[in-house]
Amino acid sequence: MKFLNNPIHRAHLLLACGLIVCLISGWRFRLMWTPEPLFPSSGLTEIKMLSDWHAPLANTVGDTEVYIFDSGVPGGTLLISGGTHPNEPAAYITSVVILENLQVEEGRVIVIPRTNAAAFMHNDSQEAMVQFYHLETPDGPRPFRNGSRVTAPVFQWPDPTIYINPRGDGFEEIQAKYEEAYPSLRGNPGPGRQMLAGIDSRNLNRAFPGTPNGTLTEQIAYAVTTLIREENVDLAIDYHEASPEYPTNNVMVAHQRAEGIVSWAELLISDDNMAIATETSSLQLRGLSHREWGDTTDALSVLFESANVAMGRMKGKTTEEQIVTGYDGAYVRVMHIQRLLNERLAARAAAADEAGRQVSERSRRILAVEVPNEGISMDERVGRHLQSTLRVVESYNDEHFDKPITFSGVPGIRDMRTSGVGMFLHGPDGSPPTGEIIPF
Amino acid sequence: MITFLYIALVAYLLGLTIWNLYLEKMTLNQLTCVMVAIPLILRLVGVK
Repeated sequence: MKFLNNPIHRAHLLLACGLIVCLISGWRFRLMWTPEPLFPSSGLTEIKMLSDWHAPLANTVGDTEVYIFDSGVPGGTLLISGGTHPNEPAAYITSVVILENLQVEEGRVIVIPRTNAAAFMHNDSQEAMVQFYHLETPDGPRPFRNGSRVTAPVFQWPDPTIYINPRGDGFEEIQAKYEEAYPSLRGNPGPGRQMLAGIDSRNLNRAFPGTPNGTLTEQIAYAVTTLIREENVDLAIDYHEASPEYPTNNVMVAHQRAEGIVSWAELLISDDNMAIATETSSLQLRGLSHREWGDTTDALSVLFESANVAMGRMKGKTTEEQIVTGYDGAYVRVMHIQRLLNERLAARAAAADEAGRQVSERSRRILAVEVPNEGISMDERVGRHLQSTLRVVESYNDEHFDKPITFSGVPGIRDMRTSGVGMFLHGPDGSPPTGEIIPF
Repeated sequence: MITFLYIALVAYLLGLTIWNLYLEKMTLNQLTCVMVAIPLILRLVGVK
């Protein structure tokens, strides 16, 4: 103990302890730098890299695999984007389920499961988020990384105080073309008029259509937009998740040109025991996939949102189970409070009606979606995205019979509810999925 | 360019923090210096 009485000796010891903490935490953080293996189905025809559409991305952390399933039969092209926000696990897993089960019969399907690969390499700071979660497959638990909403700051730093989307080259001409064809697009804010928080400079879904010489995130966005243009993508789907209190939830957000097929898909989904709504992409939301892909390419762009309690602000401790089961006691209590509140408001409104008085409030929603007592599981969230995909593609085919996109092997919400997502994933060692699809 | 400037700032801050660690006499303040140094080291080596 005499040794520790000397401040210099104590400083040596504390510094050594600090370095050990750096080594352990650094090792844990570096584990997230290794991508988990994915096992594409036998229908895969080609694996490209995102840098094939924007060469400067080659050998950077922003480069990622682009899986192409070409039937060889003429038809349309569908783009599936998962992992735009790697902290939204059901979005990523949906694209993995499609990747590992897809058999294309007409047209092409392009799958980018880790669209922002540089955001998979860390998780959100100061959020006590788990780094990994496991999904149970018949051959054992399969690990996946739980990344961040934004590109890792070690690769793009510092953030500006305010982020302004710089828009892509040639945007003015493209915008003018669409404004002529679609008068409803007139009055969009011009380039760089929307101001966002500085951290959104690393948010891929605020960076579209991207710029070729911008930040890493803007270059990833530019590569995706270029892919959509050069590959003549007809329908582009971007998967997301949100906290239950976020108003845009359990919806399909459609660009104005995609409203028709998405509205029809919503009607089809009403037969599938799954509540979902269609929302039109706001003309003010610059940088988002549903807005910019639709405005700056010929693709019909759609974004899906499901509710994830692990992303919420009201949740308790974040755990791996919370991500997978979607159960959180705090949300059960919030739902209980919402029910009690609405019972009281309804009673007050009834009394006011009897007395012939006006009341300002008849009901109030604390959460944007209903969170059942058992939670909103990964099976349910992935199932919602898969079912929406199947119905939107079906609706697209109804309108575009000259450029069909048909495929099999992709499960829907009934399969997820019956068998669970793990049955449609390869095992951790690559053993094939064993889930059987229930016919429509 | 600005990234290198920020990395240089981190290195400078880390240097000051460790210098302060050796100037401090109180254990609690020394411990605080080490806790401040950990994220600076991780950023400097490009891990987090």
